[in-house]
Amino acid sequence: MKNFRFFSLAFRSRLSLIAFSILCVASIGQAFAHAQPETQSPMAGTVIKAPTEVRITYDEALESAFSSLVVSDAQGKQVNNVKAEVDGATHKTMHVSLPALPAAVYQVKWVAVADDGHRTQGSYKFTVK
Amino acid sequence: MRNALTRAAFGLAMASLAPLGHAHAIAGDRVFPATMAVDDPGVGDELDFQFGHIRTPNDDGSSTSVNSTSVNYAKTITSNLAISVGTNYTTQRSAGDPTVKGLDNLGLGIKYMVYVNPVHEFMLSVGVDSDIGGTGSKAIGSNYSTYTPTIYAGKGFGDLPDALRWLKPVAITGTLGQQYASNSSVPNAVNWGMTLQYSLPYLQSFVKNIGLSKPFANMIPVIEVAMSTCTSGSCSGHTTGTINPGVIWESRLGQIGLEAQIPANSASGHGVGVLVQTHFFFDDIFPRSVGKPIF
Repeated sequence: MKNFRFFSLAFRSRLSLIAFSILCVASIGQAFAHAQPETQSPMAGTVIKAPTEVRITYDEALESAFSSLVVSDAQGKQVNNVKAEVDGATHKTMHVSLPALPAAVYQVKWVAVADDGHRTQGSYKFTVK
Repeated sequence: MRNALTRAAFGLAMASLAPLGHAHAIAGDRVFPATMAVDDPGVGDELDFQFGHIRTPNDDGSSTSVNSTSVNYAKTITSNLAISVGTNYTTQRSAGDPTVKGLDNLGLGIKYMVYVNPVHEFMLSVGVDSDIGGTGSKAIGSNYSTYTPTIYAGKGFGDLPDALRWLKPVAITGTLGQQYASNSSVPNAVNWGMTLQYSLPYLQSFVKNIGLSKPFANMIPVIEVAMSTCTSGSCSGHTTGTINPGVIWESRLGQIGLEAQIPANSASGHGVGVLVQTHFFFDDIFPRSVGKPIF
């Protein structure tokens, strides 16, 4: 790197092209890390009728054994009676069924572990009217 | 006095264009973007390209147009420790003078993430940035080195009460570093900066989905303040720098940024410059190979 300035402009251009090509080719088929939500149902901050489930789709595949999704009421008590599941086909959607929820504010907390082990988390609220 | 001050101001303005290490930074729900003029508080495996244009003042009252194209690569040694290397190619054009251009000195950096608080979206790192004298072209690079021990911090406001929920997407970051030069005749300086950000992805996912569609749902409006205060020599006490309003578009692969560079005072430049960035998150693109920490 220290001698980079001694390379000719043409050589540097070729080097840059090769590096960019390697970058593009190497990215094909790679798993991406740091899963982030693409769609959420219910959406953050909405006021809705009682939903039957919470469903979040991420931008990359999740490791189901380490990912979680919990819904709690205003007192912090978990309201979902079953464990969240990750869709077996795409591995990108995590959902959990809900019992009949009375009108109140609820909080969704999720942990998404991508299949390379990178972990992200998030939380948001929705209101049942 | 005036010449020395102008040279120092020009040097500091040039230093503000030098490539800095940039990192992918996550604290709880918060993703701190890789800001352009002020380094973010994270440590990551990343490749950054930036183009900058600004006009800096000369002794005779005229100005020099400075274009700088920089590249910086940061490599994680462990998940909390990274080293970085970078340089930039600079072109200076002044009316009536021949154009000066060439590679600037090699920049080396090391950065360690000291503390992360996911609940309060807080992150603190420390590091040292250096420019190695004599490694650039004679026309652009200086023959002395600089070393800048720096503290980096970031705070997101997702922990605000629901009554202030519209402020939850706000985050601030800041850096503070003391720059020392290997040449005793070159003044030392405090390099400092801060950013104010409003994350629309955070708003959509964690506060209230207001129905923004892409690409707006991925945008983070930001204002960066990148400053340098001379602490020795004849320029002691004088501050130069830029105020940079702009926007960053962020995705899982990387980000693209565009900012205006507004000189903070007359010693910092003339007219409005520009910064353009493309940034790749290697820890997300190649999580099992080159983007993985060595240890």
